[in-house]
Amino acid sequence: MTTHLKRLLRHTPIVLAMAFLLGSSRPAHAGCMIAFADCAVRAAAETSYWRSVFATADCELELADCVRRALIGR
Amino acid sequence: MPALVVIALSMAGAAGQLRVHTSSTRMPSSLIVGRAVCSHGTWLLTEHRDLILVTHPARQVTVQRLEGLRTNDRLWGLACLTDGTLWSLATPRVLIRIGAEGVVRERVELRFPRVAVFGWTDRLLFIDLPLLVAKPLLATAIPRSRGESMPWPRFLGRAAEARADLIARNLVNCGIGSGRRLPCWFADERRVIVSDGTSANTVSFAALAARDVAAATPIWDLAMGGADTLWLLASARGTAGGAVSGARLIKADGRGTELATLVLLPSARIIVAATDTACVLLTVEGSLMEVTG
Repeated sequence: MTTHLKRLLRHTPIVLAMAFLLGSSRPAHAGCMIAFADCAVRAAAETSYWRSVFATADCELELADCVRRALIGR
Repeated sequence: MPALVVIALSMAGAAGQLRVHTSSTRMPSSLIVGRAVCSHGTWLLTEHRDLILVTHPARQVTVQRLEGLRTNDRLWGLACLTDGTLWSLATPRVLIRIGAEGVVRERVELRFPRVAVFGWTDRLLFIDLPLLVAKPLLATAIPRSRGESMPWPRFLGRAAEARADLIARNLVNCGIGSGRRLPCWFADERRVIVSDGTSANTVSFAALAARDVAAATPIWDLAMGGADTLWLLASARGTAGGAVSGARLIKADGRGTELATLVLLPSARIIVAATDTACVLLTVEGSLMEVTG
């Protein structure tokens, strides 16, 4: 795998994170988006590609938890 | 175990033929993450691990701390099945069975992360990840089954512009059912789909067209009081952009035709129980409010 490709793969989680954030503007879960962005940045900084991917998946679960608490928690 | 003391309020709080009574009981104020109706009472679960039982019909309240959880557990959802077992999600990947004494008795590893869980007859009704657009969103299965799930009618995955919105767009909430019929709705929808797991019908409510209804969560809660009675808790944003809560209680027939309406003061967090002639609510102040009529 070339260095260029490795670098590209390392940035995949952060690209996915940005895809999450784009177009999202609902105030009820706006705080969840900010927390997710922080989480995704930490995930992208992991020491290997697969660690980054798994950490990003955990960020997605945290986002789902945050959004459901904001919208259907009572 | 504090018994519910019912105090009749003045008729100033009533509208139409509905009458209001509130209790002196005070419930924990932390976020309710699950509600389950069993034959003997309604369980509420909070994010701070309070497990609350409100008995039927005496309305006696018991609050206990859920024991046996692990450090990283983050509770969501509550389901009571026909055998009386109580289930929740300790994490998106772990289903737990809770004993009536408030102790975790069993942990079941899930194949896919789960974002919602409700009870329906002897099965769990749930949403698993990944969310697939135009595919059935909800499914039912017995708690320990491996892959033998049945799709729930009508709820198909909805598309969203961004993946984060995909989660919000596809969040489904379910109310209190009657027999095999369970009312569920997309969090941002103004109509309810009542299903027995095979067939389904849609119920719309004119009251949800009001301007003060919170757009992101118009239906705050809903309970079926019987074969032909629905109790709808319509949301409203608090003053000065405050928290959303259930500001109006609407009694309707099975087709959604309004029979009576009551503006709630204080507003309500959730419906605890319902019959054809009564609806019990937990208010934002932590008291139980019974509306009859």
